[in-house]
Amino acid sequence: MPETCWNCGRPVSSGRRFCECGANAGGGSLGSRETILLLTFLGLVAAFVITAFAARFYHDRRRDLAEFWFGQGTSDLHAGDASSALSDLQTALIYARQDVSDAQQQAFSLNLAQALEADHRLDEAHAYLLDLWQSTPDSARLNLELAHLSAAMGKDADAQRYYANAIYGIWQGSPEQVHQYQRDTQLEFSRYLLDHNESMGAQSVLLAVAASLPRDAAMHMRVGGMMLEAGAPAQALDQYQQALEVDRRNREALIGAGISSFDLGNDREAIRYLGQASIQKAPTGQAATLPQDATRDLSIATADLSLDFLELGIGPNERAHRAAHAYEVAKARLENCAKSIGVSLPVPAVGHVTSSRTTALAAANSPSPAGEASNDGAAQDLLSAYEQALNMQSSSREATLERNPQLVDPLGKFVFEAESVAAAHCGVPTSVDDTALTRLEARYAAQNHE
Amino acid sequence: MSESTEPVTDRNAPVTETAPGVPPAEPLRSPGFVRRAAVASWGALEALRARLSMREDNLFLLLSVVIGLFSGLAVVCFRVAIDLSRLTLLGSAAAPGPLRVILVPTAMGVVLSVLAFRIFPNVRGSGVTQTKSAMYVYDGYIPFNTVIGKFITCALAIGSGQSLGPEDPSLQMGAGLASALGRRLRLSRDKVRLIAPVGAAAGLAAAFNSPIAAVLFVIEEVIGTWSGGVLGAVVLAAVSSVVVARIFLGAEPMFQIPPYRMVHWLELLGYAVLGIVGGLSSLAFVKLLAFMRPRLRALPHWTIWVQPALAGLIIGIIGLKFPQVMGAGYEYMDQAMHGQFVWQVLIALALLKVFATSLSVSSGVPGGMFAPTLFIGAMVGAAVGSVQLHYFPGHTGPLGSYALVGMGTLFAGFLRVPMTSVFMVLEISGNYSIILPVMVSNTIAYLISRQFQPTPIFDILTRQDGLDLPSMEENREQVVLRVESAMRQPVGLILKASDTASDAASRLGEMAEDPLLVSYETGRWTLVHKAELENAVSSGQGSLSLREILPGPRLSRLHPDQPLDVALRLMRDAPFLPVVHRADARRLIGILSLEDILAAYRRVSGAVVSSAASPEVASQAALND
Repeated sequence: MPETCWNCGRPVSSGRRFCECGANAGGGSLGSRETILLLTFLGLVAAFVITAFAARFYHDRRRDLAEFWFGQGTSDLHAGDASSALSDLQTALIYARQDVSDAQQQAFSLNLAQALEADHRLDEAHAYLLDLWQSTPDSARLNLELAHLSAAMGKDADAQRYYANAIYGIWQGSPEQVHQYQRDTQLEFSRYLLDHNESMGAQSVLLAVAASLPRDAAMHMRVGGMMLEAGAPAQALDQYQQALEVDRRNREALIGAGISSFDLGNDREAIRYLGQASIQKAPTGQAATLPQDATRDLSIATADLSLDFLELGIGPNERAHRAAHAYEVAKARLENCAKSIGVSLPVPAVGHVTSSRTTALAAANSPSPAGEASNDGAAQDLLSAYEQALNMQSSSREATLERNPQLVDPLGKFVFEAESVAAAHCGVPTSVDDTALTRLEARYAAQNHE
Repeated sequence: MSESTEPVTDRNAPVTETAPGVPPAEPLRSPGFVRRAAVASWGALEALRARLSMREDNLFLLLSVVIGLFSGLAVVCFRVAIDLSRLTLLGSAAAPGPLRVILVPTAMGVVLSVLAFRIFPNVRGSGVTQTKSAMYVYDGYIPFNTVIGKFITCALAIGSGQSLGPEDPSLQMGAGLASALGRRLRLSRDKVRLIAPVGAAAGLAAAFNSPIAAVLFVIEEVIGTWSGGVLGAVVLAAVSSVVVARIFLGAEPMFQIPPYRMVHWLELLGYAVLGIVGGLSSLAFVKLLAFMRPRLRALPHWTIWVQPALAGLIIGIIGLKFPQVMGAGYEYMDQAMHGQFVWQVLIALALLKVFATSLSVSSGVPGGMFAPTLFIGAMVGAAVGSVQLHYFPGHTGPLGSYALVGMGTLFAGFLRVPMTSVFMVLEISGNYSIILPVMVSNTIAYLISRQFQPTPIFDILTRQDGLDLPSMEENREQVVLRVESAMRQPVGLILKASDTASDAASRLGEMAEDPLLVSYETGRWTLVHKAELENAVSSGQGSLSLREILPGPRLSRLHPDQPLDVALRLMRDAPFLPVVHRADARRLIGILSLEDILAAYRRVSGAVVSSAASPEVASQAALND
């Protein structure tokens, strides 16, 4: 401490910091106040430089740690270790604040939510994502993740809402990437709707997807398959045909087109597509034969054609042949139906059985009193139809029909009535011929109705 | 001492300089290039020095900005040091391995005890009370090695997992930097005393990234006044430091919560419940700390070397199951705001943090209490919000809002700084829509804490240290005596300046009072003695008006609402002063004398002693007596 005060010049006792005049007695050994001020400014500049380096080191370190722990967390998540993934991703988020981009931070947060979900902490994941959502409600990825979570929690209405938000939300990436993300989301949403038996909703979404599909056979087939599931065979056929335009030998597209045509009632086209598919080489890993449903459809379509005696453009001999075949199938349908419900039909003899005898036989074979009323009705109908079949037996021969083409119409009428009776009392048929007959009847009934 | 300065008697007078310095005395034989360059540089330097010469008031303001910049840089480096310390000692994982969790705080406790008790003896404590004591006891003197020691010890303490925060130490470091600069620049005693809180505000503002809250805290808790001179400097320093901190650490709010919107007006009841719970929590925190600290200090002296290590060991054991309790805990506050803990865990964390922080503080580990207070508040708030969300889902907003309000609630209840707590919440969240719930909750917590714990925590700590510092809360709550409570009714004749001397003298016989008040039409007042009137009459000036006879100085006027402090300053040698109406200075309401003032103070002092609200106040009053 100096012995005299710089301010008033009075002596200052040793150990005192301030003079009696109030001035700071210790001025240090650096000289005047202005010199010290100047040195202070220089020190400030130096401090700025040092701090800049320190801050840069700090931010770089934190960014590296954030990326490291994010990588660890993602690996753990993919490996199925949800608990470790959760801890790692939480650590990543700690270091991510202010040191990574917003998009990266959101990716961290979304992965954390997935880890929470994988760890069966659905409520926490939901709360976490909802919190994020309130900050960025238009983030498509966030909405998609919320949709997944809501679906897992059984909140159907929320899931649908978030899916819709995700489709029309903001995606990060190039325009092509964004378009693909939207399309993938739409397809995922469609799948969700189909799984929840909301076919009409799925159709709407799929129609939107179909409007902007690229020229990609796989994509068309995927959409076509979902259209079929949603009960829109016409749109499905359109998609499969577009797939075939890209690759006309694509077996899966041919099968899909065939099934779609079959569902639309166009048997010839169905046979054409499925026939082509059956001769294409199956891709590696798939069976050489057609899938079971395609095979059945092909059989039914083929059978349908062989029964369709009303098809335009066929010759009288072919018509007679088909009508005779249809009669046999209808008769067999009645016999099988009666057998399945325990009704005994009269044995066909030369000529025909009288109604009284038919009635007596029916009474002798009547079921127990409990089912008497309904079975009576079924038996009556079946016996009546069968009697008609027996009455028409002579006129159902192919040769007779060839000579008397006018007999085809009443025979056809009988065939359809027999099918109606059998369907009413025995339900949907299982055999190929019976199914074909049912389809034939339904098709012409619909045409007559129009 | 510069050879160019002249001795000056006025302590605030600028330090004068002579003309720019001259080259060395010896004559130059043949000036070369180097010598010419040296001369030119010296001249420039002297010119710069002359420019920097300024009055102390201006220097003080400039220094405030410089202190703000230095404090901001120091806080940034402090944050980096804490981070580096944490990464080195505990690793980068959020939940370090069990061996590390146990060993590191324990081992660093040993190191800290050596540093804090041997090498840097002034670094113990949070920093707030130490700054106050520097200001009121040591004329603003804070040794610079305290700044260095605080930096090192707190970085190690927080980084090793002690349950402490960086804000209070930042406050003390800022104050220390300011004190060092002020002394180096030879500021007067008054200015050096005032520069410490300027630095304190700068340090706190940078640490919290919130200038308004820092300014309010320093004014509420350190300075205790709103004087214009220091307020300007404090604001300048706080803003400067925040600017620097944001340059290097980013300008994002400390916590990101969705914008608040009131779901239902009944939600305010929920925040009222939070206020009650927060108030009780802060009460528990204060009581535990006030209980634990003196008892640990009362242990044998040699235990000071092991107390920090034992505290570290206990915190490490807690950290095995709840690592969130270690360190400042900001990242876990963020997680609580995003609903990542169930309410049972939140309550557990709050309770454990109260215990751990009390342990760390009481064992003498250097470090702050602000961050732990916020942590406890966040956990309590999120817990209350979780329960309300469960039972009243339609009337409860997002959990983040409850956690945020909870922070402010604990701040108000524990630290007893209600204004600061409101603005702090607004600034750290950047979310001004939440002000109503904050005010409701904070007020309730503050009132509960004040009702059941009259002495604030900082006053408890300073009194435990044997210091008698002014209590800002007690100062705020002291009754301000005003003129109206001390004045008395005027008695006797009031003369007018237009009255003649003889007229006035004729009425003197009626009056016992002397001197008498004289009223002017302009609203001014003066006094006249009876002897003066009698002299005027006897000397033939009886027909003159009092205005002509009394040329003396007018009396100062008082108003009823003015504090007695103002009256004392205006009293000077007058026997009494008139108390007049503010709208009509000619209307006399009363008179006030020095005796009246003293009597009023005596009445108040007597009332405080007889109905002491707290033992501390009664004992203080007894000491004063």
